[in-house]
Amino acid sequence: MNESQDTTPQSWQPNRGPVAKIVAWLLLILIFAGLLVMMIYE
Amino acid sequence: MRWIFFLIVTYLTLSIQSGLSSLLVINNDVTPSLLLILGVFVSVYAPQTTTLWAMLLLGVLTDLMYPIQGAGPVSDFVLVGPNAVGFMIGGWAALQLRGIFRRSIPGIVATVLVVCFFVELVVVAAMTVRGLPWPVAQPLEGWSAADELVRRFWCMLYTTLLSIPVIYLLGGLQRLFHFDTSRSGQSGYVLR
Repeated sequence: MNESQDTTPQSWQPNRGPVAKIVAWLLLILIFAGLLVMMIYE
Repeated sequence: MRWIFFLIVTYLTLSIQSGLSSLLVINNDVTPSLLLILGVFVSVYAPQTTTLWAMLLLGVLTDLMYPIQGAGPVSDFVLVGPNAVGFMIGGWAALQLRGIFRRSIPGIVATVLVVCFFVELVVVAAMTVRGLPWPVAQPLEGWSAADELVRRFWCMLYTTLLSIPVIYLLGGLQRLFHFDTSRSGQSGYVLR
């Protein structure tokens, strides 16, 4: 089967170290929590 | 994803949404959200954390763009939060949906509909929570959740309808976004 016809990606994730991933998720969760607090209490 | 290109497209989209707002508005209060369409397009192709960061940015921009109308002595004010949180939750929903819908124009348009539904619900819920007796009890003057839900339902349909040409146009720029998951033989849409 021709490779170019297969449109299913092998992985959604780019190659990135575990620490970078944890930091990115942690920051996102912190910002999300901050926004939640801000939109209710501001 | 190439962030510089994403920021340029975001700036252009924001300019179009802001500049053409008087042309795009229907019945004085139904407006489409081009930024949401851009966010959904990114969330269909980009990795998880990239999607959430992009949605966060687009949500904050939407919050800054539409001040909440005050009533009485309260003037219009900007509240950063409802749309930002809504966009992030919508982005999460889009990440779940991309395993279900195909990467085709109808698939992405269906995702826009679902994500828009999440965003509008979160915004209305956030505004309504402020009026509850706990924890803050600071209701917005003139706020009616039912009226907003009806208005935002039409906004949702309008955004979905407008997403058909916008997604088609964005599809032409897909290579320039340089999504990490793009493969050599994969460009444009799968129209099956």
